Amino acid sequence: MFNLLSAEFYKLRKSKGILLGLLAAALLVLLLYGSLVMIDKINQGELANGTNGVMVFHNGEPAESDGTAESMMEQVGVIGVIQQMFGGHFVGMILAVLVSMFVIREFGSGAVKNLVGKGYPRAVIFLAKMLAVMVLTLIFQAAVLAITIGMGLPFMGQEMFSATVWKDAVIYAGFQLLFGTVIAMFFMLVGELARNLAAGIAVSIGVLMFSTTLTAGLDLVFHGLNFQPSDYWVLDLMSDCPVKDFSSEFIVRGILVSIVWFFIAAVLGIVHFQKADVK
Amino acid sequence: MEYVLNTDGITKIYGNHTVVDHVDMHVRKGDIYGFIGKNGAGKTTFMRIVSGLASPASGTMELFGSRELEKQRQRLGTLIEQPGLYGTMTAKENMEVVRRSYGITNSHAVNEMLEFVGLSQAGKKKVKNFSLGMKQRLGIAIALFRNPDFLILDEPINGLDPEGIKEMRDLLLKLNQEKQITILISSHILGELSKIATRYGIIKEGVLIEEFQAGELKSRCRRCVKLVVDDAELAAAVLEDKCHIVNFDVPKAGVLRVFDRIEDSWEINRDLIQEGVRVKESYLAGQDLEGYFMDLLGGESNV
Repeated sequence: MFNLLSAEFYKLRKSKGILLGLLAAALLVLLLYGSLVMIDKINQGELANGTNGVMVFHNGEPAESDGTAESMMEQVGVIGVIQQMFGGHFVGMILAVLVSMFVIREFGSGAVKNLVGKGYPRAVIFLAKMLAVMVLTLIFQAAVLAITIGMGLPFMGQEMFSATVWKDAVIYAGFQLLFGTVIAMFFMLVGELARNLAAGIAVSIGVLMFSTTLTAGLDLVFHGLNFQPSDYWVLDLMSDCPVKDFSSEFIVRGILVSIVWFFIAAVLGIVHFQKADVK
Repeated sequence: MEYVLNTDGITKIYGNHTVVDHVDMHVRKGDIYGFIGKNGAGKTTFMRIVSGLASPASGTMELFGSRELEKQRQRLGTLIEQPGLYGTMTAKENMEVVRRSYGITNSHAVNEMLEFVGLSQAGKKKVKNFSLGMKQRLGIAIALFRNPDFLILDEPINGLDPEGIKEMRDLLLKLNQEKQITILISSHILGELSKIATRYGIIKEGVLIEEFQAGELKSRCRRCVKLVVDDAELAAAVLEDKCHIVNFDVPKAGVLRVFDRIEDSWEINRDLIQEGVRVKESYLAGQDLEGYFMDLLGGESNV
């Protein structure tokens, strides 16, 4: 296992995918902060509504630039931008591509055949890859957090930046790292099953985009039973995660649901990989 | 006889299609075993089963006389179809991944192995920019990295230029003769295979139809008079008693191959006819290796 992990981390170090992913994330963060700056400038009458295609609406009507509107940047804050990046699944989408590339290129018709049948049980090979994906996911998410927070300072200014409740931000970030890691395990499972890069990315992004719609539908189906399936799906927890006033119910449910889904993904992946032919 | 690989009834089925059908293969220690068959005959699937990349539907196998396959497979080096490489890495980085995976502590081993397969000059060139031959060499380097006792190579000379083919041939001979590595090799280039193989296995539609020594192959390809007759038993008696020929065989019913007095074939025909044998066909035969296999596999060129 140690040998396999050593090789996995070497591959991670050599991978340029993480850097490209972070670059994409940084661009998205820049866009988010840039939009907030534009909105504030329009609200304060410094820019005309519609400048560079940015239209601000209040109650469905184009905003009046009378300078009385509250600062959007202040309302959203650093945590709001983090929430948009994680809860809005921007990070998830980049992770879907990164994890799919990291897993499928190897499991599809690649270098995994240098390991299978060479003395390592298949379960160990899969677990080593899983641990590497976990590390990749945690590093990537932590880096996105750092970028989001770091870029907040120049956009918000020292005063507004200091007003952030960092204790809440840390708890929120911790939950997002946990949920993100579990979702990455699902991307890995999809990759192991699909063994095709295009299909793997498509299915992973499909899960990201549409599974919450499905759980919303199931919530309606089970409405009479006072049971909400969306309470037990990681992506819903990711979107619905509060940014403050964390209830103990949410904390316990979030951790337990994450553990259960993590093991489901791990066990399904191992069981399939044990029996699958390697090309 | 010490067998490196001994399979018994190995079968692989995909859907309704039996790809490998009860294959009993016997690879002896020190063999260079040429595995021959058309595309889709089941060579690669069989090799993948032996290597542990695929599991058989039925059948058993022994590696190095043991059924502890997981353990014994650590003594294998394999190159099945395309080598498993990371295109965005250099040759050295690819080897470094393998070195770490195998737990080889000697960090110089990477350079030594690249030198051994002639890739030490590849430098910072990414593997995705390698020629097919360079990729094959890197695949061989990975296969050899753990000093295997048994090499399984699926079409290793595909894509190599003539010089590369010769280098590969010399390398395999060297590994076999100097390091006593047993080799199971499939190839479409039968002429090349015949220069190194000591034993052959022929697979057709998933069935291993023949296994034989290289020396036996030479005798099968000898020049002869081939006779197709109605009564092979009577014809054999005439050849012995009247023509005084003992150097002939009967490869299949109604067919005789006469290896002596080839220039006097007209006399042989005359004597057979005079003794009441109906000679349906009589012709001079003598095949090269390729022709022999074509006959055996059904006469198409897709060997």
